[in-house]
Formats: sequence, structure tokens, C-alpha cells
Amino acid sequence: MSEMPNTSAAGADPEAAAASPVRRELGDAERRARFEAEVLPHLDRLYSAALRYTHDATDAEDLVQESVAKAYRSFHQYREGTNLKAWLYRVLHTTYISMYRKAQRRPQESLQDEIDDYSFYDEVSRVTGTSPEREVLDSFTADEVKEALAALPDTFRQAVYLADVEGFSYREIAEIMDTPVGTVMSRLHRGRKSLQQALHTYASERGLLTGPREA
Amino acid sequence: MTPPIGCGEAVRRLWEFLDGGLDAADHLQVEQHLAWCLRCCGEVAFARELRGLLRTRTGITLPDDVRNRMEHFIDELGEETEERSRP
Repeated sequence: MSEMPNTSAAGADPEAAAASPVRRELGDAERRARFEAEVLPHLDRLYSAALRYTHDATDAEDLVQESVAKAYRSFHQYREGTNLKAWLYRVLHTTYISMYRKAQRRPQESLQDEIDDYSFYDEVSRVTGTSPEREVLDSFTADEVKEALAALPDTFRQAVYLADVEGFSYREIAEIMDTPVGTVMSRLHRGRKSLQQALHTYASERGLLTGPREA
Repeated sequence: MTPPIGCGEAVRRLWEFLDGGLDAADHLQVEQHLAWCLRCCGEVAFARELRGLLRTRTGITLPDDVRNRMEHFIDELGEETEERSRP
């Protein structure tokens, strides 16, 4: 008889499972199949997120690989029925911190307070026209939107990205980024304002916000 | 009956409203304000479109070679684990 419990029996027999050095709810083959079925569809999003963290294609690939390896090893910690995507983003975030930010603790990032009264909408809607808001928003190219997002300080960019692109809730973002919900909300608030200011600049440069037009 | 709020308060809560982050009473107040305020309806629509812009114009497609390498990597992870746990 072998020392290692048969993996399929480990799930069924609580004593065998307790004796096993690794907690193994799933057999290896089953875990592998489930991991591939459930995680592979998220690869695109994970890679996008990794690119936004690292700003470099090679580093992004390394980060995704390391995260996937970590996720595989701790797949038993993932609770079925909870949000797998949020869990994967959490793994990606902690992996990023441990890979790239351990050595370089940066001072707390901040965005200016003075933009608090600013409203992009007010600036745009002052321009007359049939639908100036739509015209202005439609004018932005993908590169401009990406650039405006990339210009935000790290933590603000992640918050805006997780909320507005990925659609995570405040609570999920707080868990992914390991910060209090209040911090997430204030990063979102400032990040979104700053992003709108950047877009505002592009629109102005294009002459789309030159004030009320003469009839 | 909740007391009505003005544009300033509605705008202040606008993104939280869109994020679904307001409690029920605060959410209702914004909804009631939007029921009659054209100006704020315009700003809500604008914010929704702005978010749509972020969703549609920031996409990155995983290059095929990267996808192949990753799928191969995940495959190997699975094989290693299965081999290690074989008696």
C-alpha cells in the first residue's frame, strides 16, 4: 500500500484527506481540468491588467505566468460560487507587489486636491451644438484614452481601471488592492477627475471646446 | 418620503450612484432628482458614455504567440503536479 492516499479517495475519505500533507479537495487531474476550463477564459483580461501594471509586454507575460502558477497552487483556496475573476485579479495584484515593488517602496501617491470643483461635463455642455457631449466623447481615439489612463499615478489608474473597465464593485476592488473601501472611493473620485481633465486637454487642442459658437 | 436634493448634491453622488455604491435612501434621492432635472440627466448620460468609452477603447488582445506560450505553461503546471503526486 502506498503512503500517498489515492487522490480520488482523498476527497471521499475524510481521514485520508486529513492524513495527506496537502489539503486536497480535488484530485490532481480534476483540479487541472477545472483550472484550465475556468482560468483560461480570463487570460486576455489578466494580460491586459498585467500590461497596465508593468507597461512592458515581457514583464506583463512574466507577471501573468507567475500569477497563474500561484493561482494553480492555491486553487483549493478559491471558493466555488465566489467571483473567480476577482480572485484572479487579487492574485495578480499581490504577485505584482511581490515581484516589482518589494524593493522600491514609493512615497504615497497623490493627486492634487485643487481639481475638486472641476466638471468636464460643464465644460463640454457650455459649447452649443446639437449634441456637443457626444461629439466630444466620440472624437477621442483609443490611443488618447489609453494615454490618459496611463498618465494617472499607479494606484489611481488601477482603481479606475478595475471599476470602469472591469466593472468590479468597491468591495471587490478593496479586496483586490488590499485597501479600505474608503481609500478605493477617494482614488476613484480623484482618478476619474484627473482622467477627465486629460481628455479635456485633448478636446481643447482639437478646438472642440472653443466656447459658444456663433450662429 | 425622502427630502429632495439639489443639483450640487446629486452631482456629488453621481459616480457612486452609477457604481451602485449608495445606500438605498441616498440612491432613491438621486433617482428622484433625476426624474425632473434635465441638467443632471445630461450629466449622468455623459458619465455613462465616458465609462463606455473606457470600456471600448482600452481593449488589448492577447497576441497569439503569448497565448500559446501561456497555455503551454499551464499545461506543464498540470503535468508537473500530477507527476509529483504519483506514488
